Amino acid sequence: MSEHPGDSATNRFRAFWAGLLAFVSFGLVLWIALKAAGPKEAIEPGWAERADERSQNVAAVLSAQAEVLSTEAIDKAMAPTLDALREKKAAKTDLVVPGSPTFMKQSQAPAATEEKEAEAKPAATEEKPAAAEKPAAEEKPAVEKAAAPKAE
Amino acid sequence: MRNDLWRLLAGLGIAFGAPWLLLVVSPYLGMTAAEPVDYSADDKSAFIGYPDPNMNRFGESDYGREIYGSEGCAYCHTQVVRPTYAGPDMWRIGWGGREGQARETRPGDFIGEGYAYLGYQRIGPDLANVGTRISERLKARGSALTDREWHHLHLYAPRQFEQYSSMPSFSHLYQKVPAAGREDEALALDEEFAPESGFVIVPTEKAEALVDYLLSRRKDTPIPASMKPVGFASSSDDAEKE
Amino acid sequence: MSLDLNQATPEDIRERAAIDRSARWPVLFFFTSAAAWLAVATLLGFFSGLKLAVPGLWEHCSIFNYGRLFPVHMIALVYGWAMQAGLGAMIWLMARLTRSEVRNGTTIIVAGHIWNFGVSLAMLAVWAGKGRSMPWLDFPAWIAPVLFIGYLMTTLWLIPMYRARRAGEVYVSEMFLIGAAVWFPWIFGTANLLVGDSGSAVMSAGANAWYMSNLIFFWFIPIALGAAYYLIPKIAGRPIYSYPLAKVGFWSLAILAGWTGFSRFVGGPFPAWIPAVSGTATIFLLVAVLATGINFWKTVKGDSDVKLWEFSPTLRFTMFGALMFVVYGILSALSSFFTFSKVFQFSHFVVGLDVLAVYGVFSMMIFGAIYYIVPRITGCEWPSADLIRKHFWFSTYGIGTVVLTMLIGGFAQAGQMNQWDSSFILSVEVGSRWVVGRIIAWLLITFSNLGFFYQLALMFFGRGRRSEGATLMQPHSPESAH
Repeated sequence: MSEHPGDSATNRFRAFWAGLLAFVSFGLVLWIALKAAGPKEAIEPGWAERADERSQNVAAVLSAQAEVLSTEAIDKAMAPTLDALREKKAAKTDLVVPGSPTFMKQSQAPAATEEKEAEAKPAATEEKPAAAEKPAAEEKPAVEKAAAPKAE
Repeated sequence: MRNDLWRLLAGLGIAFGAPWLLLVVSPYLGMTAAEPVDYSADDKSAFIGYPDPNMNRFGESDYGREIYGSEGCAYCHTQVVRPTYAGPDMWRIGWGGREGQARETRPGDFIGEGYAYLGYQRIGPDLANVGTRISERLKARGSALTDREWHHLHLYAPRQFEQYSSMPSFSHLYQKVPAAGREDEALALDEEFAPESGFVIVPTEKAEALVDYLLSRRKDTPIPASMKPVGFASSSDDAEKE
Repeated sequence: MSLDLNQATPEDIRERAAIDRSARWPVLFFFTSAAAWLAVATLLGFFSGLKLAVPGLWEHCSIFNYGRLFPVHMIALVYGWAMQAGLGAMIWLMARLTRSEVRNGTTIIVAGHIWNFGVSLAMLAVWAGKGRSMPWLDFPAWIAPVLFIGYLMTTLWLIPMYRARRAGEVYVSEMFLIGAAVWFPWIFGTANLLVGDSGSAVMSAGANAWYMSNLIFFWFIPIALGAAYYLIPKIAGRPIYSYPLAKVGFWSLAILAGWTGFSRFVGGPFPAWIPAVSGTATIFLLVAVLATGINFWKTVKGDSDVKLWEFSPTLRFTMFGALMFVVYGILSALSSFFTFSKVFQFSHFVVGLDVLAVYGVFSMMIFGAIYYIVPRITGCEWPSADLIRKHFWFSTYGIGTVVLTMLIGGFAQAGQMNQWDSSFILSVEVGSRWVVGRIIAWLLITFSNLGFFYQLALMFFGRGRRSEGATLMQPHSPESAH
């Protein structure tokens, strides 16, 4: 046993308890911390009994929302808009794509004239749902929102 | 010799303790203290708070959550709507919430629920907003079914709606009873799935609880302005300018 | 010192034989019960895949639902097979490394029974519908203490053994094994206190993901590496190519692995820094993974042209496992990036990655250890090299099939799902074709292990080959060395 100078009954005994302490240390600390954080908010007493009341609340909330957001109004607005879009033929547009060579040339010229022209042409030539920076988006919030969710 | 053991254990303890404390335990304890945030008058919301406790738990949905867990639903269904930089979940109709209200799931959405079944895989659709999605879809198709009925039918016979669905049939949550007097509870099954004549399939309490849980899945209550970062321009601000 | 590989004195040999004898019954108990659970797990893997592809099969029997079969398969694989195989290897390795006999054999066997009892309870509870849908922690909360006690009674003895070890420098394997011994109670205890019906629904789910990753990096991989760092030099007859690199690998694992796990929920309802930190840690870990792989490779290859892994079953399994370790590290690191996770998150790929970790990396390396250890503790050699070859090749085919089909299938399925304007059911249809790969893979793996079970049973009863020479995969003669 000369090669095992550390081996003795005492050392083994101590190492055993040190090991046990090491094993349970993190679990014990966490358990104490959870107890100290207080009990989990209990489900209110009588939660189950008030189920009917809650269902009525939910129904009231849902109908109030439905009143505010009327799907009929949206459908009414959509139909003529879609017809108008369908009738418009694809044509060359005066809108300039930012970053294109034409845009670069025009930005040397005074910018005021370009802005007026852009406002006069609404989103008729937009095919894909646009992101919020197009000014025309504000005029038709219902149309745009139906096409793409607004990321916040 | 003895120093070796203590040094090793101490080293391991510190190396492990840092992430244990900073990544797991502190955020956990911090989030246990989270309370619903009230809406201010500016928020113009019909809900009473974020999240609305009437919305994310109702009826027997807590018991339904246990059943959701014990049937292994989270292995095929997630409840995470990812923001656009992490995936195109929000573009899918109904996944992020109702039209115009779609947003990603946020930590506060699950306040008050005991466990968030975020899920393991998406063999089936995401269920974060299935509570509203099904009723909207049924209304759009002019279906006579209520969303409750749809869920019961889907749980009992998934392949009635989609031939190639991988979803198991949860028929053990339903019982076959004689038809007498139980027609209004009975599931409107197609011939292929219906029991023999004179009998109907009705949901048990467990099935009702599970459907309560599914109907409570809606994560599109608006974020109160008080929780938004300062200087954040949102669509509601633009609307006010008009 | 302890690394005198070629000069074994008669005393050394006698000492080793005494150590092996003392370890025989505890280690064999764990290996055989692990093997039994492996049979159960692989069959369940096959059936759960089958139910996914053909959900209408036995559909009115709730116990055959995918939502029950899959968690039960995972419990059998992780807690029944993998943990017990690891415990058996741990005991023998620590005994040999510390040059001390296993003194508490009976206690360890009792502990093994308690562990088996706990795993059976867990399986039956989940199968009967008392599970919780929390991956790798499905079992009802009250079963965790049973498993914990079984574990404690098995591994606590490693600490006094380490304390009482032979004089000299600590070898890196011992560090990995002591690490694994203490890491498991830390992560298991933490996970069982946080995961479940709790005060923070979201962090509870996050802690579940953290536990899965930590079990892999803080228990399965340290034991596999500890075994490899011991066995590879022994068989190759050379010291580790770069021992300082090995220690660096150990400490980087120790420091980084605790941060991993939350990247499973990148983009999920967590404060954004949490999954980001996990992803970063997984990427940094890649350095340790690659360094370890290179270390093993250089050690095995050495300066000669002899391909040792063609002869030694242990080396072949271990090196393949090490290769899978590098693959796993790379895939895990990749899944921390948005570009990758946009497609692969929540797809079929998730299962492929988890199976790669438990079977491809850990199980293959532990098979290597088992093929080395069992002859030494039973005193006889493996009867058939042919069966060992079959075991190796069919396991390789199996793990390759599952990883490839789940990678491609996940890409196909999620790619289709990401076509947000198309119907969801299309992604299911596209994915189900690849689920067939999962079924075939588990069938191959089940088949590969049949020979293994048979030989292990023979060895258990002492019916192996009586021979001085080890069973090699190919006959070794001087001419065939090149």
